[in-house]
Amino acid sequence: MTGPKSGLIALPALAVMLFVLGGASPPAKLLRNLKLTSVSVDVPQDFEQLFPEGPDVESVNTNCRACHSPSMVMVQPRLSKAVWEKEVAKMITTYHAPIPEGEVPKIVNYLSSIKN
Amino acid sequence: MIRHDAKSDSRLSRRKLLAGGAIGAAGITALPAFAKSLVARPPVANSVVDLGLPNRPSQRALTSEFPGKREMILQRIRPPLLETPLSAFNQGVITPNDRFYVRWHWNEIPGQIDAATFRLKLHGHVEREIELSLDQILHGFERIEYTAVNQCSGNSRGLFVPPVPGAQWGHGAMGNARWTGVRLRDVLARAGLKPGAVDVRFAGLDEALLPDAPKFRKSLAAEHAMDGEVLIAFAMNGVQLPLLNGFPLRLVVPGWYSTYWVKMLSDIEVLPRKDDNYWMTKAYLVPKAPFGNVAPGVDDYPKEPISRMVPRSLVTNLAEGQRVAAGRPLAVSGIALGGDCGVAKVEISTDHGATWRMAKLGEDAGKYSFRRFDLAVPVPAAGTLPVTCRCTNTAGVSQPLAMNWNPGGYMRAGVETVTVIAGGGA
Ligand code: HEC
Repeated sequence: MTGPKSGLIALPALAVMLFVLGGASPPAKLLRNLKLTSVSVDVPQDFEQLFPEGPDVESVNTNCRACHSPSMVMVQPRLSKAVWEKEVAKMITTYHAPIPEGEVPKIVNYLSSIKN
Repeated sequence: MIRHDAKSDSRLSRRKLLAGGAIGAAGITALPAFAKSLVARPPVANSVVDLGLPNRPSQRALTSEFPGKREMILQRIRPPLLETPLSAFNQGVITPNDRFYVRWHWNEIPGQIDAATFRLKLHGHVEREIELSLDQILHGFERIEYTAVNQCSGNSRGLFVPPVPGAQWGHGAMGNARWTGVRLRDVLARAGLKPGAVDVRFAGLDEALLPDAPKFRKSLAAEHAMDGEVLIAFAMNGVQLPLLNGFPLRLVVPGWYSTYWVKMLSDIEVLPRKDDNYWMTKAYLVPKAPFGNVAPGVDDYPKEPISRMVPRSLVTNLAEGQRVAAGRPLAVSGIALGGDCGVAKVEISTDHGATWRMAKLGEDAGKYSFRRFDLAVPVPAAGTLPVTCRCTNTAGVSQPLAMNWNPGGYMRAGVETVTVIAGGGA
C-alpha cells in the first residue's frame, strides 16, 4: 500500500502549496506526473485441471472445462437434478457450449452425484 | 494446480478443450486430484481459509500467484475470481490495489496491453466517431477524482440460504478506492450524442470464448452517462490500475454495483434504443422490490436490471467464534457503506436487535466511500455475545433485520452478526 498512499498524500500537499504561493490559481492537476506504462503479465491458467472421479466423469471433463475451471462447478451448493439440467441448458443456449445432446444426461448424472 | 501458461499454450489448450476431449480419458488418473487446485501450491501451503459458507464447500486456498496481487482468496482460477480477505478491510478505509478483488466472466483477457497503441473507440448514434489514445484521455480533459466503493452484485452470495448457484463469494467481493480519471460526459461530448440517444453501451478488451457467444457488455441510460459523475478512471489509489482490475481504463459508476464498472474499457457505443444484449436483459436481473427481496420458491415477479447499491456494514476486527475477555468492554469496529448515498449512522446491537447503541463514525471520505465505525460494547461474565451492526444511509434507508433473498444471489444487505465467546482466555 506504500505506493498508492504516498501518491495520495503528496498531491493534496502540492496543491495546497501551489494554492498558497499562487494566490487564486487553480489547484495542481491531479496526479500530474502519472504516466501509464504498458503491461505484460501471465495470468495463471489451469487447463489441465480435471474433475474429481465420479460417474460419467469423462463427459464433464470433455464438455465443461473450456470456459472455466472445474471449481466453478465443484464449489456450488448441492443442487437438485432439475437445477443442474437448467444449468447445463444455460451453458448450451446462452454461452454456446458445443455439447452433443446425447451427452447431457451423462453430464447431469455426474453433476447430481456431487456431494456438496 | 496453478500454471503460468504462455499465451500460445493457452490458446492451444482452449482449442483442444473445445474440440472435445483431446485430453483423453487415458491422462486422467495421472493428473492431480481436483482438491489440489483449491489448496494452494507449496509457497503458500497451509493457507486455507474457511469462509463460513453454510451448506456448501466453505474452504478456499489463499494465493499470491496472480499479477499485481498479494494474498487473495482463490475462488476460481479461470477466469479469475479473487476475493479480498476480510483482514484487508480492517486496516483503513481504502482497499489497497494488491488486495482489491478480481472478477471476470470470460477467460479471453489480454495479458499484454500496449499503452502507446491502445485506443478507446466511441461510435454508434454520435455526431462523429472518434478514437482516443491514452495520451489524449490523460491530457485532453479535465481530471476529477473521488473515493468510491466497488461491490460485486453477487457479493456474499455464498451466504445465501437457501443457496443459489453462481460464484460462492464471502463478503470480500468489494473494495474501496480513490479513482482518478475524466468525466464520461466530457468524453461523450467530444463525439457528440445525436438527438434520440437512449443508452450508452460499454465493452472492454475481454472477449467471449466463441464469437457468437455473448461478449460482456453493459449499458447506462444516456442521462446517467451524461451526469458528470460517471468517470473513465485511469488511476486507482494514485497509480495505474492493475491489469486484473481493468488496466488501462475502467468505467466508475459511483453508487452502482460493479457489473457496470466495465474493465479494460475500449468501446463506447451510443444506442438510439434500449440495449437488449444478454448481460442487460437476462443476466443481473433482480426482483423489482426493496432490497431485491423475494420469498424463496416464488417465481413470477417483475424484474429489473440491478442498479443502485443499498446500505451495508460489517464488523472487521472480530472473527466468528473468537474468544474475548469477559466482563470488560470490547472494541467493535468495522466498515459501512451507504450504497448510493452517504452513511448517516451505524448502530450496534448485542441482543439480536432488541436494543441498539450508536457507534462513532470515522473520517468522511465522501458519500460513496466506506466509512469506519467504532464502539466499545459491554461483555458479559460468560456466554456468547452476538454482535450485529446496522447502517442507515443519508436517505434514511436502514439495513433490514431479516436477510433479503433472491434467486440470483444479488444485493445481500441484511444486518450481519458475528458471535464471539466471553471468557476462557482472550
Ligand atoms: C462455452 C463456454 C462454457 C462452457 C463450455 C461451460 N460453461 Fe459454465 N459458464 C460459462 C460462463 C460464461 C459462466 C458465467 C461465468 C461467470 O459469471 O463468471 C458460466 C457459469 C457456470 C456456473 C455458475 C452458475 C451460473 O449459472 O453462472 C456453473 C455451475 C457452470 N457454469 C457449470 C457448467 C457445466 C456443468 C458445464 C458443462 C456442461 C459448463 N458450465 C460449461 C460458460 C461455459
